[in-house]
Formats: sequence, C-alpha cells, structure tokens
Amino acid sequence: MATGSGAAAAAADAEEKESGSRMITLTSNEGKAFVVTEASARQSATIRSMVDDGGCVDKGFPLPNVDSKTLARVIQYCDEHGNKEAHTVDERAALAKFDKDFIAELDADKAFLYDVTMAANYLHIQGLFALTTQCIADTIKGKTPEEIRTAFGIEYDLTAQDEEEIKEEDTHA
Amino acid sequence: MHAPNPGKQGFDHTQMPGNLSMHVNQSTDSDHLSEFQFGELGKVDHHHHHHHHHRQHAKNGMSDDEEHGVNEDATDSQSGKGKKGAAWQRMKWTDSMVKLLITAVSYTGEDPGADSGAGKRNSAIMQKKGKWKAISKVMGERGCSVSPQQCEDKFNDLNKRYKRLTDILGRGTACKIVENHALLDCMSNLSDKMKDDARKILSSKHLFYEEMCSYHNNNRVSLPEDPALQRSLQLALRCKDEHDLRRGTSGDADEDDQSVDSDSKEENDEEHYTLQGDKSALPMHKRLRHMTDQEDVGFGNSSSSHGCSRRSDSHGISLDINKAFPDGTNLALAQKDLATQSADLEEQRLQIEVQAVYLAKQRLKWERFSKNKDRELEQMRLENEKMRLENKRLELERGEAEMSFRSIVRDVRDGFGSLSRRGFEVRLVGHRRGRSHSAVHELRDGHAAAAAADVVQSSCWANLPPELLRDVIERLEASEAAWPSRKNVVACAAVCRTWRDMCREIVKNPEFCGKITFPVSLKQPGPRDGAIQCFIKRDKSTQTYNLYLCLSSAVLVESGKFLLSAKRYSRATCTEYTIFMSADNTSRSSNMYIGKLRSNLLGTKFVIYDTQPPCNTANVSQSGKTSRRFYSRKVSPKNPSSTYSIAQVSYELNVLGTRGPRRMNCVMHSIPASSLEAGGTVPCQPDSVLARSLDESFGSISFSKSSIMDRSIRFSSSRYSDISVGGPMVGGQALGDSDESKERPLILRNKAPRWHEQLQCWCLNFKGRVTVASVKNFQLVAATQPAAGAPTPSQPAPPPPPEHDKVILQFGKVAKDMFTMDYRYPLSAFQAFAICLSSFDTKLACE
Repeated sequence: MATGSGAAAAAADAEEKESGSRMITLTSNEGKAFVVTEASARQSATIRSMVDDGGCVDKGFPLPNVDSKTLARVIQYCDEHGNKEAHTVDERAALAKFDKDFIAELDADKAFLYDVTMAANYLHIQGLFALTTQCIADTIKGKTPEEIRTAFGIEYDLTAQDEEEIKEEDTHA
Repeated sequence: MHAPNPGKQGFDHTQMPGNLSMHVNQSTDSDHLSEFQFGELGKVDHHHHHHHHHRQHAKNGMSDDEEHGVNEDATDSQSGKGKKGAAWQRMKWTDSMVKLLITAVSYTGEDPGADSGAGKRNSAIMQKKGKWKAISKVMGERGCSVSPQQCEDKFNDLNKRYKRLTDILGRGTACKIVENHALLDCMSNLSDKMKDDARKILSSKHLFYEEMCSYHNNNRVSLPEDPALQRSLQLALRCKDEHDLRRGTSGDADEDDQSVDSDSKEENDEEHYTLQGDKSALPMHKRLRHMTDQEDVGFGNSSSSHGCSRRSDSHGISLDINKAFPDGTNLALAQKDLATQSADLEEQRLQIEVQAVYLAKQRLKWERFSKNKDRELEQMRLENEKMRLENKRLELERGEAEMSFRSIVRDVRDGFGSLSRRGFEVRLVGHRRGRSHSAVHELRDGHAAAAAADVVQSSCWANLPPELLRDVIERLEASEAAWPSRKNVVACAAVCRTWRDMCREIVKNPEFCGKITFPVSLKQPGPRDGAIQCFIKRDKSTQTYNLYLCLSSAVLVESGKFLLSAKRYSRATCTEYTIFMSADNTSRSSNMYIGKLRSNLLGTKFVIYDTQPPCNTANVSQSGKTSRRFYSRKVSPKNPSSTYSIAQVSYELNVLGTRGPRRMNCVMHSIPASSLEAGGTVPCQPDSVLARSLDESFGSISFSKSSIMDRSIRFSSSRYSDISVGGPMVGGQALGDSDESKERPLILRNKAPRWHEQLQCWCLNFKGRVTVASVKNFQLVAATQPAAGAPTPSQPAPPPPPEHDKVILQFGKVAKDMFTMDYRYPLSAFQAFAICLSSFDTKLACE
C-alpha cells in the first residue's frame, strides 16, 4: 500500500505538471459550489478518472450524495494532501499530525464520521477512506457487542437462533 | 295539577303537602323541601299545645335552610330572656379563663367537624343562647363571672382568629408556625400581605391556637380533661331543656328579633290571622312562597287584587290560598285565578318551546354545515395521503433499481471473492481486482450508486454499506491475529444482522487464514500452510483432557485459548471419550457436546463419532460459495444422541511385538484422499460446530462404494461449476481425476521413527515442539500408497504432491500431563484432538 500510494503520488505529480493549476468546481447536494485545485480534487479517484476522461472539467462536478458540511471537511483533507509536498521527513510528520487531528475530531462525532466515510468511499479517496475505516475499527476494538451497538446507535435485530449461536461463540471466545 | 286542589274543600294535611310539594319542586330544591316538611310535621304532631310558637321558629329555620332545633330555639329564647335582668360588668379574660371557656365549649357536645357552612352557622344561632347560658353558669361556678354574651363573643373571636390563621397557613403548617413564629418567613407561597395578616394574628394575646385546634378536631390534646366541668355543664344544659318544656308558648318573640327578619314577623302576624287548626297550611304556605319568590312577581300582584293580602310582595298566592280554603266563598275566584295563571304559564311554556325548536333548527343547520366542511377536509387529507404514497412508491422504485444495480456490483465482487478462496495463491490479486472492478462500475454509473448510498444513509451504521463494513472488519481482522483480541471480531459478529452476516463472510476459514475465530472453525480443516499449534492438558484426577490454542510459540505455556474438552469414561467393553466445546458443561445432553471417541475391547481400534453428518447433502447441492456462508441454516430439533462415524484409528503391533514403536493407521472417512492433491478441497464443511440440521436421515454412514460415489459425483459437479465461474487455472488436474481416486478416504499413517544409536531411543524430528520421550508421541502423514485393493487405473504416475510429505498432525509430550498438538489441513481441530486422545488410551505400549 505504501508503494502503491507512492506511485500514485508520482503519477499525480506528473499530471499536475501537465495540466498546470486548473481549478475544479465541486457541487454539494445542496447546490453549494466548492472551488478546489486540481491537485486537491485528484485525491479522489472518482474525480481523477472523470478529469482524465476529459470533458466536463469546466462545468464542474455535481456530487449528489455529499452534503456541504461533509464536502467541506473532505476538501479540507484533500487540500492538505493534494497541495502539500510530502517528501521530507518533516513534511510527512506534519501530514501525519494533520491526519491524527483530523480523525480525532471525526471520532467525536460518529454521525459525521459516517458521512465522511461514505463520502470518502464514494469519491474513492483512498487515504481518507483508510483513515476513517481504521478509526471505526479502532472504535470497535475491545468492546462488547452491546458497547458497539451503543457506540454506533445500532438497533438489536438478531433472532433467537442467532442469539443461541452468539452465546455459544461467546462462551467459547 | 294544582287545579283540582282548590276544589277540595276539606282536604287533609297529609294530602295537601304532597300535592303542593310536587308543584313546588319545579322551582326549589326538592330535598330541602321534603326534609323541611318532614321535620315540621313531626314537630307539629308532638307539640300541639304551642304550635303557634313552633310555626314561628319553623319559619326561622326555613329561612336558614334547616329544620333544626325548634326546641333549642325555644330554650334559648326563653332562657335568654330569663337572665336578661342580671348585671354583667365588664371584665378581663385571663388565660386560665379562656382555657376554661374552650374546655367548656368543647364539652357542649357540638361537633364542629361534622357540620359546616350554613348548618354550622345555623346551629350556632339556634344553640348559642342555651349553650352560652350553661357555659356562663358553669364558669360562674368556677369563680369566673362572665355573661353568656361575653362568653360567646370571646369564643367567636377565638374562633375567628383560628379560622383565619388556618385559612392563611393551612391546617398542618399552622400548628408548626404557632409553635415557632420564625417559620412564617420561610413560607414562600404566601404573599406579603397574607404574611402580615398571619403575623398580626400570631401576635395577638389570646390566640390559644392549640386549644382551638383540639376543639375543632374533637380531641383533647391541648385541653385539660375536666369531668367535673363536663358533668356540671350537662346538668346545666338539661336543666334548661326541662325548664323550657315547662314554660309555655307566648311572649318570646322579642328574643328572636335579632335572627328573624321583619318579613317573617309580618308572616307571624299573618299566621295569627289564619286558622289555628290548619296545620297543613303552614308548610304549603312556605313552599308556595319559595316558588313565587323565584318565579314570578306578577303572579303575586294578581292575587293582591283580591284585597286579601296586605302586602304587595310575592307572597300573594299563598295568602290567597290560605284564605280561600277557610271561608270557601272565594273558591270560584281562586279557581279562575289559578286557571288564568296556568294558561299564562302554558303560553310561556309554548313560547319557550318555540324558541327551543328554533334553536334546535339552527343547531342542526350548523352541524350540517360543519359536517360538510369536515368531509371536505377529510377528502383533501386523503388526496394528500395518496400523493404522498405515490411519491414514496416512486422513490422506492428508484431505490430498487439502484439496489439491484448495487447487488450486481456486489455479486461480481463476490465472484472474485470465492475465486480467491479457492485458489489461495491468486487470492490477493483476485481481491484487488474485485475491488477495482466494482470501483469502475460505480464510476460508470456514479449517479445511481450515489442515490443508493442516500437510501442507505437513512439507517446509518446498522446498514453500513457492505464494502465499507468489509473494509472495517478486514482491518480489525488483520490487526487481531491472536487471541484474546480476536474477541473483537466475534463481538462484531454479535452486533446486528448485517454485521453478523458480513463478519461471517469475511472471516475466512482456518484453512486459509490459519486462525481460529468462530467455534465452527474447530470442525473446519486447519491451515494449508503452517500448522495450528495447540496443547493438551491432562487432568488425571478428573479424567479430563483440555485442548488449548497456543498463544505464543513457547512449548511450555500455562495459558492458552480454550478450544475443546474431553472426558474419559471407562465402560465394560470399551473406553469412551466425550468431546465438548465447553470446559464446564460436560454432559452428553448439553448442547456443547460435539462428538466422541470410542475404543474397542482391546483398545487397539478407535472410532471417532461426530454429532453432525460428515457431509451435508443440502449444502453440497448448492454451490461452493453458499455452503461457506452461514445463512443457509435449517432450524430443526437437536438430537445429540445421533452420531456419525467419521474416522477410524487403529494401532498395530510392529515386527518387534510390544517392543518398539506402534504403527498408527487413521482412515478419515469424511475426508477424501483427493483433498491433498493440487486443487483438492475438503467437501461439506459444517456450518456450525454443533449438530443443527439432522433432518436428513443419514444414520451411521456405511462406506459402501455407491454412497461414496454418489457424494463424490456431487462434489465434482459442484466444484466444476465453481471452477468454471472462478477461472480455468484452479484445480485443472483434479478435474482430470476419475471418481475412483476421489472416493477414497484419506488415510494417515505415523511416520516411522528411526533408531538413534547414540541416544538409544526411537527418534522423530518434532522441530522442538516435543521435549519428552513418550510412546504416545507421533507424527501423522498421508499414506502415499493407495489403500490396498483400491486400484488407481487412471492415475498415470502423477508426481507425489508436496502435501504428502508434510506432517499433518503431530503430538508429543512436553511435560507431565502436558502435550503439544499441531495440526494442519485437511484435519480439523476436532478430528486432530480425537486422534490424539486415542493415543492416550492405547494399550499397546512399549517400554
């Protein structure tokens, strides 16, 4: 994964030189427009492929299932990772710190974390998606099923048969 | 109704009040009237001799709404008059006097709690004279000369203050505040003015609140017990009564002045005027007066034209009647008068009725109007509802279309997933491809996928999109290789339905991941690359053997993850080991029972039984993919007693007899020999570690050729379909094999130890996992030669697969009562454990 993202970054760099610093407009489902640099937008594999396919760059990209609040947060991540260099140790450390703070904020608001995760999944922003899913996984760690349900507000919908099996698994675990 | 009454000249007093009371009921309170009438008549009967006097007082009673106390009234008026002449000088009330007064009053027998309002007031009026007289007298006896009036005033004053205080503060709190005035300031619910009032009352000199409280509550908490006073008071009261009865009728009207109004005085005169013997006239008169008072003044006026009445007030009609009957001459006039009046009334009644009808009509009209409006509203509401539902339907249709699209995407991915399971060497590549593939799809139709995500979002975490949940659990899985933190994955599987399904789908069998997660793993084959390291702890005292998963690579570990437990039973003809999933619950009937091992009489042959059939036909008929998933489970009553023989272990003597190493031979009926060939699999892996679906009547599997043929044909067909979906590179050679080769059960033999000259013992390379020499130690490998009598015609010298060199199960002693057990594909933990147990029990031991 580390090498993969490195290669992707290198490819993105090459693209950037080619296309210069074009601006791309992303529109949330509320119709709010966000103007970002192409480097930033390229963090999203979805948008990257659309840009590469050519065409609709000028018209902007409507994102019908991302609301403004989420999109703003996602763009915050993309700007940080798309516009900043990550070559030196210090730069990487700065990015890592940004990621840490970024996810700590989301961790506190599970509903928003969900939105951001969904957006990252939809836009295929690999780094952000990994960040959020890891955060979810970390939340689950060390919790009982009941605690997980509480943490995520999940309703209990298991059948009696499931329960029996779970009991069996539980006594065995 | 009243029309015939005037015509009756000599009607008697019992009939008359009855008739009239019915008439009067229309305008006055009937209860009150009948009560009055009753009491009045009774009194009249008893006191004929001074009925005039009674009548007068009855009137007072009447005006106060009560028939009470004619006698009392008489006494007090009489006694009041009798003592009038005495001189009472002004005096000062001392505390003891006031106390005495309250005590005396409390003894008068009046019940202050029972009567209230008008009744109390009235009784006070009626009784006070006699009562206060007696009290004054009794007080006099005690050396306090006070007049009845002074007593009364003083008491009323006390009473007033008590009442006021109670009103302001409330009954309960008042007592407390009297005890401690400071509390008043703490009462927040009172206005300042009320507080001032209360303070004023509290500061007054003669409050005697507690005494009054006792008096009002009919207890003697704060009043001294004084029987002597009570006796003398009773005496005084009785004496008054007798005195009163002896006294006559006349001349006491003056005493009544203060309580009887001038009107009744007039009536008093008026009754003198009527016939003395006409007892019924009185109640009738009263009733009519009540009626006319309230109903019609004009009525009275009309009667006054007869000149019989000296007044122009509403009593006219009653006077009229009173006079009409006695002399009889005015009868006709009265009749006529009544007739006109009734006609008037009738007319009024009709007018009112007309009005009522009109109003009713208006009301109906309004109701009709409002009903119409309601109907219109309802109609509009229904239309709205219809539109809303239509919208919902459209939305759902859209969602459905999107979901089906998503499921296609997911199926494509799953296809890759199952492929990766089959061919584990291409697993990573396949998985990557599945992911990118779906990504492309979603990109192509970005809008549809986006909208579908919208639908999912509404129920948020519970319905986390599968790809997302998959990623999360994969992360969790990857980071939690070892117990006890693998609990997290098990916990995830117990959160809710979708999570559970997803977890069980993602968590791979130990065959591929080398990890034991769910209990079902215990009956699934061990890992293909590398062994699962376990250890067995023996407890000789309880004859139990527990299997644990090693949590570290150390040979001698004290802690491990518990996997299975076995208990040894010695029977007459055999030895039996029952195997459970739980260490605590080792009863055959418990649902933790998963199988057993049974020896023959000599202890040279062992049969391993499973509570589940070795091959679940229902699952075999389905594709390989679904058989791995967990929701194709049948619910059927458990039958723990049914067992299926899945393997046989036999020990043979070697050429040296009992000396030298044993030879082990394991025939694994449930595992085909082909499972070790390239691309081979163990078919029919169970859904669950416990027996659940036993409705297929397998019975004990007999290994006739046909049944094995049967099953293997099905295996190959199911595998074939999997392969054709998954890709051609998987298990190509296996397909070429004939059914014959696959139907053979896997046979395991122990690796023959070699004699170590230096150590003078038989040695096997356990790679450090066994440290103590023991006859029980063994290593099992697959038998390279096909079983005797099973020809392999269509196997033209295949290169021996590498699996055949590998040690599939090794077992050895590391300490007293501690043994290691390392197993791998295609054995399951359960099978391996059972085989090891047989080694404990064998009687073919060598020195």
